[in-house]
Amino acid sequence: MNAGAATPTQDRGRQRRRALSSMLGWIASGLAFVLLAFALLDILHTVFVRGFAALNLQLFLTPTSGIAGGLLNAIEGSALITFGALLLAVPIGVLGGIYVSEFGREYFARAVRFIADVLVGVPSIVFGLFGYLTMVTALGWHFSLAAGCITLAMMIAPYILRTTELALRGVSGELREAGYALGASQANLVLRVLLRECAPRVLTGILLAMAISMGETAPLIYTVNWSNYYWNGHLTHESVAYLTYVIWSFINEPFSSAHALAYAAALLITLFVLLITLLARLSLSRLEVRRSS
Amino acid sequence: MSLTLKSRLAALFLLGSVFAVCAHATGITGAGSSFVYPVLSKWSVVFNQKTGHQINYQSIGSGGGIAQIKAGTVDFGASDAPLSAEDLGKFGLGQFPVVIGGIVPVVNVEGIGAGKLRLSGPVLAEIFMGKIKTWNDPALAQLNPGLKLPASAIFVVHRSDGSGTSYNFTNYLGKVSGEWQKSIGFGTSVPWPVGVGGKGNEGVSAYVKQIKNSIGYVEYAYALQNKMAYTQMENATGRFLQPSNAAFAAAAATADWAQAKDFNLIMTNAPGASAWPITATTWAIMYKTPKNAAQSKVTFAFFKWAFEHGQPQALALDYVPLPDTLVKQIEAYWHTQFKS
Amino acid sequence: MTLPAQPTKPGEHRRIARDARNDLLFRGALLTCALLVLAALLGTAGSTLWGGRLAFETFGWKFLISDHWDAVNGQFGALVPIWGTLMTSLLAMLLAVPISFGIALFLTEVAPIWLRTPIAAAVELLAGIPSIIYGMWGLFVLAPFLADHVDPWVNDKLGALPGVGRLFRGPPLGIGMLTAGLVLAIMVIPFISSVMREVFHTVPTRLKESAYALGSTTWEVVWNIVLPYTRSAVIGGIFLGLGRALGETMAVTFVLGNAHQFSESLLMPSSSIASVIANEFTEASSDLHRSTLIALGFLLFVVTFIVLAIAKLLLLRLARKEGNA
Repeated sequence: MNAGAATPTQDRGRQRRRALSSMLGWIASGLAFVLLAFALLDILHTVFVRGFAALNLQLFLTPTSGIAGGLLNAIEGSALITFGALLLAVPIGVLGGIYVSEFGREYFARAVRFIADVLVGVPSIVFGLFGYLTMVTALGWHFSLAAGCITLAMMIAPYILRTTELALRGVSGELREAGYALGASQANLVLRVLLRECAPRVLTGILLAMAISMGETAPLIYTVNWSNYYWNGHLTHESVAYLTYVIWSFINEPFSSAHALAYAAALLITLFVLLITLLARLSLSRLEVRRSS
Repeated sequence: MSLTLKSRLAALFLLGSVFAVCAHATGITGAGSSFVYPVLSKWSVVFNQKTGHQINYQSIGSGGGIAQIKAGTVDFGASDAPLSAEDLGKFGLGQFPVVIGGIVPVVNVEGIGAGKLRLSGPVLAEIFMGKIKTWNDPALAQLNPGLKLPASAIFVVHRSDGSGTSYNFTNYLGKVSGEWQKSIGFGTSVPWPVGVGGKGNEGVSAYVKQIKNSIGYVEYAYALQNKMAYTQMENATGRFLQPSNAAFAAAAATADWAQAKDFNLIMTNAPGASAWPITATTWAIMYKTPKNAAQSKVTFAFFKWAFEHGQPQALALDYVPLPDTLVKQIEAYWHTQFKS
Repeated sequence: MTLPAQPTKPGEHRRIARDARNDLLFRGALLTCALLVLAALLGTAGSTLWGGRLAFETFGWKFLISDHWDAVNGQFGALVPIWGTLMTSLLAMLLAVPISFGIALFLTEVAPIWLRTPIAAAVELLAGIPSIIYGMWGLFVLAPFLADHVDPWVNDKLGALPGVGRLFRGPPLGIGMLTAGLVLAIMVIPFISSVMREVFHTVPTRLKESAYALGSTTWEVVWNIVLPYTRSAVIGGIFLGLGRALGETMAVTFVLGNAHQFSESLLMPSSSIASVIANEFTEASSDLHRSTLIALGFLLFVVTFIVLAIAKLLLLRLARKEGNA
């Protein structure tokens, strides 16, 4: 930087060197991007090619029979598990998020925020072990829908908590002050004004949590296991089917029918997760459009 | 607004769940070995169509199956390893074989096709102990005079997950090699001295296919479906055999079941002249005095149907149905041992 | 809600009383939910510690430093899984951090504006792909490619180096710590790069403009302005990615090779804490074996807890700096 005594030629040389190193830096970062894009496109390519080859109408109409048949029971199970997990996690996550955001100065709220962050990062297999130890064995629920839903809810509730908190913190303070000035109670203010204001962001968090719970395998293997049948209405003592199990387990069977099911399941999950994430992005961009207009 | 709606939904959900739990359970549940999952689930589909009874089998592993039946939470357990007489006595359990399968060594050596390489038990044990390190080792050359074996190092591939396949494979190695028995022993997962571990049959076969000059072991069905180069094996009588359903059935037929109380016999290294040496079975485990007589009755009906009419499904999935002599012994065992 | 314009006195009193009661209930509900999150953490830690007590009692400290894993004789040491977990995660970070950095820069400084949002969205979408799918891809696509094209080169060229060479010597298996590290890197890059992208956005335009006005090249602005300003948040993002890499189960199990023998070479198979649990839990036949696997789960929990706590502290420091600015 201190180019005080440099001759013009030296200066030009340094200029060129600086421009060159800047260029090299950009080429490297562009290359990094291409590298990742290539790997990820290849992953998608693999899943799509093999998955589409395995797709047929039967998959959506019949349950698995042994290691062949359809995937309808797994699709139903995945939907049930995700729905159940959201049913538990959304109220807890949203209310917890409100607590942390609106009473955030308190020491306990800070602790909760920290714990939620840690929980978001705890490996899912550890949650699986927890579910197995407490619900499957100690409470005697066996492999069951309820054990799976609660285990997944433990994973995603902290996630929803954090996204809700961040969403609420994005709401301007003026809105709060205006609400209180009008004499609104705290509950009314938060639920009817603030939450409505940042609803797209909260929804985004919930949608992403949904995508996470659709794609999880490790916490479900030890809590839900697998069933060849449709759900029979029992919350405990009866396992259900779900899509990720098909990938995890059927890939290990010798027959091409089983492999086809695994690839079809992989395709369905990937498509679903991508769709949900896309929806989440859309709901966010709608918010931004509303903001700017 | 949204909160009240949500809480109403939650209340509805809870109410629904109370009813659901109160409703009566129908159907039979079994849990355990993943080795028999394909055939048991296929059988249960056909049995369901024939009788309307629902059999739900969960492949949670043999260890899990034993734990579940001991806890009395399933109607039957299934294990790749037999329970000991004390364990059976302590919990009032009985066990019987369900279906037979063969385990075959598979290799990936250039120029060696399926069924070409000849192996003996002791040589196989030395390979998996890392004592025989190269393909042109004199011990291998002696067994395969006509084959051109490369001078390259042998890569051993084994199962990384605990499995019945490993249990029977290591049991066989222990029977033919004293050193294996002493230093490693047998079980669903053992301290492998060399090699890489693949997750499941798929993992092992993927590794064997990818790694040149490797050797692994998989279920016969897997070797067939993936067109892998399985090997011949020298059996207990010194004959070299190709793996085949007949050779697996011969092992089951010639194993000395009559002497084995509660069918507690691992049929590796079976004595028959045409018996494949690494043949495995899975045991179903049930209570001798059932907690629920009606469920138990359906379970027996299921297995009886499977033994007498389920052969086509088993063969289609490359399992070997139990030979008639063994089925007779099992049915006699049911009559003397089980109350139902 | 509708507020009456001029409430009558008694009506207002009732409303105030009702509001106060509702607020109390509301706060109670909020607190309960927050407490549930705390309970989840304690429950997870407590249950795995309790489930693993048999293993901790039996092996004591030797559990952490022994590499002997023998399910037949009930001897378990966690050194190899711990080593495998740390090495694969470290490798993943070494690969992922520069690449994520490049991508984040590409998306904040280089790419044409119209391209930024779609690409950022695409990268985030990829963070949502289930990990089991990365595992399948790793086993069937990446591993054969590495075995044919990369491993031999690594073995010949890097393996010949003095000292560090021993890290790179081994047969071209296509599976092992190197492959696992690569797959993990691909998995965590979307995470780290989106955190980096977000924090790069927090750099005040004022600062960057001033540097440009002084004649800096873009690269110099990044290196001397953006990075120092966001350093602690970037490190925090890296640690978050590290937390994910440490606990990744499904993808790693497919490509790590799952060997219980200790080997220093990255080309050799190893095992990780999560892969050992996924491999052996269902078939663990003895109580001690099962307890050991649960104890491993507890260890994994502790390790990730520490990593994430460090990440949080670093991110907090940035937040404080931002607050002061």
